[in-house]
Amino acid sequence: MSDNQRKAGIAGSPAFRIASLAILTALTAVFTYMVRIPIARTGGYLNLGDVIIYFTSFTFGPVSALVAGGLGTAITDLISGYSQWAPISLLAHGLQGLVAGLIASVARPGKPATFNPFWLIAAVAGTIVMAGGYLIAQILMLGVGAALFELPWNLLQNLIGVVGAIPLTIAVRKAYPPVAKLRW
Amino acid sequence: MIAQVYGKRGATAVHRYDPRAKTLLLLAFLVLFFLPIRVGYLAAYLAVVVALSWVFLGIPNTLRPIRLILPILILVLLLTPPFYREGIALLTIRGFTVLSVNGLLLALRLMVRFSGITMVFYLFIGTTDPDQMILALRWFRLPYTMSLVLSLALGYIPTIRTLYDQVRDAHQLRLAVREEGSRAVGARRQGRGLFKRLREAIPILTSVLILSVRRIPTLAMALECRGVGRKNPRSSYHTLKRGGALLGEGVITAAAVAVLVISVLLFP
Repeated sequence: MSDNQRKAGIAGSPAFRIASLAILTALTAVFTYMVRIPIARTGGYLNLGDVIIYFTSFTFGPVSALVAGGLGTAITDLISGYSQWAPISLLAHGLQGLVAGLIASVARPGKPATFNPFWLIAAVAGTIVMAGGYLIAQILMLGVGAALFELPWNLLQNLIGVVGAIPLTIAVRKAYPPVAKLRW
Repeated sequence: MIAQVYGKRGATAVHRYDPRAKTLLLLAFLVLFFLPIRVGYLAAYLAVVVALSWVFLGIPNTLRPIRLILPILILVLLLTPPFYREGIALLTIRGFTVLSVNGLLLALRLMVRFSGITMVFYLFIGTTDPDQMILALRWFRLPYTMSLVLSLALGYIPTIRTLYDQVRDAHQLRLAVREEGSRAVGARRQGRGLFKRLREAIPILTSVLILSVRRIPTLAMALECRGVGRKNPRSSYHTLKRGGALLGEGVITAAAVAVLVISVLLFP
């Protein structure tokens, strides 16, 4: 580690950045592909990928959320046989994490384990970016009708993400305070 | 994990084909399916891709992506025509055109386009080794650090999956001991709302996240011990094709792209 990296703390080292991005990307992929909540009566599922993307943007910052959100969901698409969506997920979820992370990092609360009202604004902006990105891509690939049909599901997916990410972020910060030092 | 999709390791010529050349062909086909050419010709290109998939991946593997996208294709067929009602009306209900020739043609075009994109991606992923894919991305100037992140993430997915299963089982066990038994708890959960289920999942997610995040400093130290972050150039023990083999496949790729361009010009 160089002197500059020592001054910046462990979070300043390139090895740390690579390690954190890899773990957060793997977490996003697992929570998108494997951890699902069944929707009663419809037989469908909602995944928890957006929960991790918003958690990453609130806790680790915009760059981590950009990479972990984009790569994690793209890997999920490749694994699950929907590889045609991988480039779109890479962009839409990556930008969702970046925008949410940028807004959330504007004002940090005095106490790390408390609710930050900027998280809600960040989540709304992230939702617009993600749902808007998918809408444009789906209009090009599937047409207006099918794209509009998919839009409410993307919005519900984001709502689940926000509703899950806020208590999760507070719980993780309370239970494991050193997580605040891992931000870069 | 991607290896589940990637079958017949090195079994056919397409599996052994250079991943950089395959990436260029993938891009060429993607552009092709977005070009405003006749639906019949687009369907012919789709037939070529399906035939290639049939030959190199087998019938069951070719049918798998088609089964996956079938509901979306039905959705496109049903929902596209009402938005495009110009042209000769084929079905009118109380003066409202539900189905027109233009709407039907557009729905067919979108279905062929989406099927084509899906099959091209599936053929690419199904015949390309993930390690070779990462090497190809590095050749296309993806930074070394990003390819390392990708490799590490792919390696950590099964670990975090196992961790999640263990934490979930531990939480369920405690819940079953404290309450009246897992079967009764499971039966009660069937009727619970979406947000209630999400709230129940938060303790499990919190545990998994903390256990995962605590691994970051350890992994970072391991990477530093291996010299990651130093300025000196990295060596790679896996390499892509060079020399005559690459030249041969480059010529074949260029010829294939030229055939595609000429066919589009001849049959617009």
